[in-house]
Amino acid sequence: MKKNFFPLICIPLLFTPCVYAVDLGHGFSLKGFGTAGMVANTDDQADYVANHAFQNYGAGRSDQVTYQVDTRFGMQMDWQALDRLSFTAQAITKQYEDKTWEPRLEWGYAKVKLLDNVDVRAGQIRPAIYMLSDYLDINYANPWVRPPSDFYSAASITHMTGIDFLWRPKTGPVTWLVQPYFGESNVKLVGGSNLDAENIAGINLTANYQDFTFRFGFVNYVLTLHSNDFDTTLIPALQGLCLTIDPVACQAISDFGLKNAESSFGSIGVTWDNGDYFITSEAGRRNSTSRTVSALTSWYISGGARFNEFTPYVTFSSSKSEDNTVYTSGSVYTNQIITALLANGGQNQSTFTLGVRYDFYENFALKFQWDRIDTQTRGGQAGTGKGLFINPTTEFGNSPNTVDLLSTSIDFVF
Amino acid sequence: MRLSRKIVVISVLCSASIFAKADVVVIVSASSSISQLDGDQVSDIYLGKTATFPDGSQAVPLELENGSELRDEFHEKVTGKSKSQLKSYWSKMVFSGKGNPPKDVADVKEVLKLIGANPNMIGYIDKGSVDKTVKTVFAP
Repeated sequence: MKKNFFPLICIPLLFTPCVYAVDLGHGFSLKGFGTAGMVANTDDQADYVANHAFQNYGAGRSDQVTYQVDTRFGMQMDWQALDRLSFTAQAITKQYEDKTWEPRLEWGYAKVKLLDNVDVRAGQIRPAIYMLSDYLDINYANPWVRPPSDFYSAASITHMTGIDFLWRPKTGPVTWLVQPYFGESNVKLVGGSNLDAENIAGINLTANYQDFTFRFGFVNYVLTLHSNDFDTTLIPALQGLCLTIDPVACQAISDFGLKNAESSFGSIGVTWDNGDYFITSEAGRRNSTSRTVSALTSWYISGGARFNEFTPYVTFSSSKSEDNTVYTSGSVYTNQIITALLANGGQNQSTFTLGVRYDFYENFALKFQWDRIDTQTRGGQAGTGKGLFINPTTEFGNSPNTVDLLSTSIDFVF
Repeated sequence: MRLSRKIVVISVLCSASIFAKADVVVIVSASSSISQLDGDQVSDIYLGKTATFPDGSQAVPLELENGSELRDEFHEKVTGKSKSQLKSYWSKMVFSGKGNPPKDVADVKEVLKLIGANPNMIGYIDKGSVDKTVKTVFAP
């Protein structure tokens, strides 16, 4: 019953004095952040989760109202060992893919200041795949209850063992962040499978000019999926067909197998924020040599206004698979297997969001949000209509759906 | 006579409370080679976007403690961020290992003492407190 333990450790925090970081002396400091959130889903045919790769319990079919989607708590210990050398460890508890809430180390790295405007970090870090990669877990840092799921579910490499460089040159009025990163990762996914990402090589390029921030990101990696269903059922079935009646199945193994598949995610982003108003938008494209990782285009645009402590906002986001929906090139068995696999990759949905953030107390923010999610089938194909929902009923998967969500959360940092 | 004088006093007090903001100025050590900065340069230093002055020397910003009126005025005029926006901003930087907020200093006296002794430091105080150990590099 670990999950029930969480709210208890949360409570004392609400009464901690409002200091930013606790100085422990000798260069050590302790910081923390968290979210206590509730989501209600009007539809009981499938579960809404913040990320379908990492959560398998959500609001809707499992439980109409749940705290499991957004609630989390993180602690960070920093040690400034020397003038130019520091160490950081950050652990987070939240709903992980195995449904436990056991805290995990999300970041653990050494940082060296090579030059006044160049830092290098080595250890366990988060690859800067998206504009908000670095603070996806810190909802206090963002206006919304959670970053737009349609966009932030596309590339699921949450951490890596590796190295990155943070170079901040300045050219005239423009401040830059040039952040190349390299590493490898093993990411645990729902359903007991896991994904190896090797040879991760990426770049995060940000330019800041007055109220504008422009961002370009690109990452390339080699993916290998370790999945029981995949390794012991799907691939052997295709291999059997390949050896007996259907040579097309041989080709399907190499097209759909997820072994050493070169994959990439590229994105652009822009933010305009003058303090009173903001507009922010990102668009991304996922590609892979394996057709199991469907080619995907996703984007969002969000805008809001700040009236003292209140920040109302509106967001539109979308996720769209680009792959074919039906496989017809092989024998009837091969076609069935591959069509089912393609249906599973269907992640077509769009979301309209209205919400408000209320900075009611120093270091605390209260948020209310309404999401209307429209899932789409791909060409009416059965099983492709679930969007990014999980645990769908057959009915939910076979048709487009409209789902309303109501969320509320309290975010804090200390 | 007395009434009108009272009205004058009251109106002065009122306008004083509206314009109660002391003029904030940005200072460096008198021994620093920096003679002038613009608002964007000061803002970049205070938001950790750059760790250096335009001449490439190290820049260490000092912040007045939370709750100081001068601090609010400085950020309103220079970084353009409200208290809660600043908090959000630094929570992004801190928890991603990209930077730490400037060091908090108790009061203007302490700012003067630290900056007077260190040419790499930069701070803000009210115009009236400028003494000969420091120099004004930006007046927003």
